[in-house]
Amino acid sequence: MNNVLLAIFGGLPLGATYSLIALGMVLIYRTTGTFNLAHGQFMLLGAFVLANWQLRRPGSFVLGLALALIAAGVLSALLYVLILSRTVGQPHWVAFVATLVLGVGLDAAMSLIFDQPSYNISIPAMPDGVVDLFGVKIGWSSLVVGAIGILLSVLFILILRFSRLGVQVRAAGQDPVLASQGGIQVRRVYVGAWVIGGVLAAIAGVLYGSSTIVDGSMSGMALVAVPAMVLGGLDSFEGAIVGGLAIGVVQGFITVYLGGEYVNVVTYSILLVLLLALPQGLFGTQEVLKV
Amino acid sequence: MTTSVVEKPAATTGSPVRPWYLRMRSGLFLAVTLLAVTAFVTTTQFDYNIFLYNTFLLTCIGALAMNLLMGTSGLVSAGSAGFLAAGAFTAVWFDRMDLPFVACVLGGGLMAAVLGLIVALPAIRLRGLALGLGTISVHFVVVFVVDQYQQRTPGVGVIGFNLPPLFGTTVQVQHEWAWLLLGVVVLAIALVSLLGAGRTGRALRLIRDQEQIASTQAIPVTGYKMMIFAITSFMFGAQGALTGFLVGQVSSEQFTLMLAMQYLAMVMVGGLDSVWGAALGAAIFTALPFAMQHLVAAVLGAQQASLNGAKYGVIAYAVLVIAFIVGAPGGLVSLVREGARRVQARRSAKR
Amino acid sequence: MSEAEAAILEIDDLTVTFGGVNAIAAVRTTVRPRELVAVVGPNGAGKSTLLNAISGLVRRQTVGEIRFAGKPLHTLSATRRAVAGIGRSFQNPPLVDRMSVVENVMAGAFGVRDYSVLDQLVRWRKVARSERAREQQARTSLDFLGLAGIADTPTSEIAYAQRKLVDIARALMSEPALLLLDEPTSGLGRSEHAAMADVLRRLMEPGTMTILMVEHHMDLVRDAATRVIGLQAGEVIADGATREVLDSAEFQASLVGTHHNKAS
Repeated sequence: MNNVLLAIFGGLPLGATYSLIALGMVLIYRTTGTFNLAHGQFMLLGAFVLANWQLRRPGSFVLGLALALIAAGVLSALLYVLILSRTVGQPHWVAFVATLVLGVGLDAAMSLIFDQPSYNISIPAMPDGVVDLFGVKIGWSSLVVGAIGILLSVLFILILRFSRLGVQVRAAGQDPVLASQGGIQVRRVYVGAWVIGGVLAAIAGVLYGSSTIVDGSMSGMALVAVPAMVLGGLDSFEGAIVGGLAIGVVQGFITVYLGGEYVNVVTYSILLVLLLALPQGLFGTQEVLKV
Repeated sequence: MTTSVVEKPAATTGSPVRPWYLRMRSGLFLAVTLLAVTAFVTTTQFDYNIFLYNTFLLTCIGALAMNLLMGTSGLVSAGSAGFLAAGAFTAVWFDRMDLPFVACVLGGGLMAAVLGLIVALPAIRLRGLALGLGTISVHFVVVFVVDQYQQRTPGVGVIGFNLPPLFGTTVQVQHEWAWLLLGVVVLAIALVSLLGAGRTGRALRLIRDQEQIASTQAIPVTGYKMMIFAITSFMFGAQGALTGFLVGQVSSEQFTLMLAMQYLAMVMVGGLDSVWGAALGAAIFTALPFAMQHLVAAVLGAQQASLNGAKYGVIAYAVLVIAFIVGAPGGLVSLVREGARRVQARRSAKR
Repeated sequence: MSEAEAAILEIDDLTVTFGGVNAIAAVRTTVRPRELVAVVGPNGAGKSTLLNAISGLVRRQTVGEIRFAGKPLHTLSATRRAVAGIGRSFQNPPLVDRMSVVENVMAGAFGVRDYSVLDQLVRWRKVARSERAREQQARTSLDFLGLAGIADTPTSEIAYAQRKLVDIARALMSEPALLLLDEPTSGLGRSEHAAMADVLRRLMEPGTMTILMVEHHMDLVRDAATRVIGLQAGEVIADGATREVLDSAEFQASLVGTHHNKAS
């Protein structure tokens, strides 16, 4: 029983991180139709910027956080405006390859700029130490990170569903021609979607980075958000949260029962099975992935 | 048959029938060019450069396979590294059983082909983006398997398996490798060119561009996709095995997703559905790391070059691919063709 | 054209369902050899879906029986149906832009398996002979449709009306017993209309072709079709000789979104 709890408690904070990343990716996918495999790099940038800031100027967390979010948002917008918006006419996989390659390039560029082997992020007022939950020892910070992550995800969905901006985003994604005739500035919505996606990823990076260390390997996490997205349904926001948490917990179980080296292969086997048996995921619309 | 509608032409057919091998011409030209280059390299360059040229020839095999898979048939695959690994590790496995070199290479190819079929069989139903994601999954599964093999096999050094030198330790090793690899590459060019011509080539392009209706033209879509997957996986497997023998060392860490992406990138930069595009892409990506080393050393100094040369190389590679995707989606060959067309137009305008 | 002559196509209780909605419902009809049957109806009536169901492109969503020359068709995959002799053109011609026109047309003969993939690798002379013959056939087909001039043009550079004709030329290459045409005149201008009508006439002339055609333009239907099937909301509302159907009061009343052109 302990192991099960350990798996769940270990997996949930991870899952919350995946949810935030997946949410951003779904947002981008639903608006501009791009599958952004460079998302992990937004996460990494946010973490790096904040960590680097804290290294030089400890004590001004809020400013550092703001910088981190702005950096990620700007990078994201630039990527869309300069590159991805120009791949519109070409087959889907061109954008796929483009974001894949961009991700790799950004990784290299960031490792040149932020050249410490690893960084640390500390969120002020984050409780220290370990708590004992049902016989399992869990770090407070992990719990808090997980909770914040889930809260933010839910908040995001609420905003999307009930605010005017949210409605515009969903409309622009569904039928851009109709949306622009209804007075919605489609291009602005697209850029906005990328910015928000980048910001979400940066938040995920900051949250996750605070509970472990920050180094280049973090960007690989975003690739794991892909199975989470597919599980939830490529075009479902609610699905992104559920999928993210589910994959996080699954990975928790794999780590506890099989060992860390099995995590990737099992996660991606799940992806493959999903693609074949349930391509629309749990909450996605049918035919979203043309199979 | 004799009452067929098409035998009642409204006008006579005056147009000449082109030789069917038209599409084959560029393949032939490429093979001859590589022959000349090989002759040049082996007679004028010293060993290390010939070794680099050999790695280029090996990369060509994969690039040609990728060209057939993605360029002609439209199947996006991030699984190249997995098939390279399958070929390399099968060669290791066969070699440990004291099987001869040829058996190791063919075995590597066949194993990769079988793997490609088994794993691609369900994935064949997927299209475009979904297929790409599916092949990423394949990559992780294959790499996991070979990694486990490496970990559990007794007597493996930290750096992985060793394969015996092929031509002994004579001075001419790299020369002999060059001619051997040239032969293999010429075979690969022939295979890809032949399959890309005739009714098979037309069927593949229809699958690439209009998959949903290809079956109405009597094309067995799934069967053809499986065939192309098997053939290209075989090519990657053979390449992996050959590389293992050339370099002498095989280790699971060599086979990364990044490696798979390089093959995607090189055919996009070179130009899809073109054997010249494949070769040009392979050449660029073989030369890039070295070019970048020199560039960085010249601009930022030798220390930066040795520390971070590889990273600059990756950035350069990313910039190159993105530049082509955004600016010249048809790749280098399309730029060349466009250039030739403009020269032609200017010439005829002057008359 | 006796009553006893076997039907070339029999459709029995055919229903196609997309996401809970019936695109076509319990369609029942027969097509006899050498007929040119036009399927008419308002937008969304299910006309293209009917053709797709016959071609085999929506098998998962289809229930019902189709028999082709007496043998069951609904059990066959789309590929096998094409081999069996069903040719198809599409509303938006799905061609390969980066091939020349003649190559696109040659692709239509794929089902005539004159040589195998293995042959392509080793038996070059056999392949060369087949390719030459196939190319000749394709050029003849293009001539027949008046497209000889663009045979070697990259398909990306030809006009839309020409694309429609190339699509049909491709469909003819396998010498199909039944030709399914999906809105052959959609997107065409006046003179191109007349050219298409002429093509249809010449296709039917030798008496070896049967055509099932979805069409919006009533003048063409009146001119070329021997029989008309009216579809509305997925159901057959009329089925009979052209004049009878088109002149009936009920049919006139149901016409929405179709073109009347008495001054053709």
